[in-house]
Amino acid sequence: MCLVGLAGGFVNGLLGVGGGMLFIPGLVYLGGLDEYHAHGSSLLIVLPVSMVSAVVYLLRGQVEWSLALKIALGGVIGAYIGARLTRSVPGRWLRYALAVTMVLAGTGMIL
Amino acid sequence: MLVITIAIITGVISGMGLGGGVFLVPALALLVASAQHEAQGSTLMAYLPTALVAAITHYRHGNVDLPISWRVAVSGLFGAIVGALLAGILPPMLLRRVFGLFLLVLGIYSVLRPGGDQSK
Repeated sequence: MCLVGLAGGFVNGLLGVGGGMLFIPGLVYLGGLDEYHAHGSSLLIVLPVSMVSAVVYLLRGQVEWSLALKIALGGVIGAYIGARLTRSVPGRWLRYALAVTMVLAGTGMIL
Repeated sequence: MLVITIAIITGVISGMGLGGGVFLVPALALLVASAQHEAQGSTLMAYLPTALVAAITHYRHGNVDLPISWRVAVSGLFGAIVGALLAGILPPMLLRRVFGLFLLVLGIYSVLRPGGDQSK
């Protein structure tokens, strides 16, 4: 489990993303948790880990507060809408669409 | 306005449990032309209040395994410090490419993985 933590934390600090994409599968396959507990536990883990990463970026002067404020504001509104939509939207095609978006955006960033 | 729109869209994805965070940094980098380090740092900072509320909510609902979370979180702190310090050494263009590669692999994996239809 420590390896899961190290890997997820590393990705969190290096790339500035939550790390749930590593924590959740790790908690399910290596920790033996079900999806619900893995989700909840992952969120609890991401909080202190993101805090530490954010402080390192902050100390380097790499946090733009006006940008962060807009992201936080939009994020809260979006998360509220998203939580309500979960039950009504078909999952599979959305997942594929997001995967295609990831591949396109990833390619765009490499080039 | 563009930033708020992007944040709302990625927030919706995140609220549906599909991991919106991975879309926010690329959107900022590609559409808003933010510098890579600042996009990542600002995203991390902006995520904290949401993460706090989400963590408390899931904890109250009993969806948290504390003994395992504790171990993963402590090792995660070390990983985060190493990762964040490494990010500081990398030039912005290289960091952006590393992010792009990660995103590419994640996108391919999310289609190919076993049980890809289930919630993440």
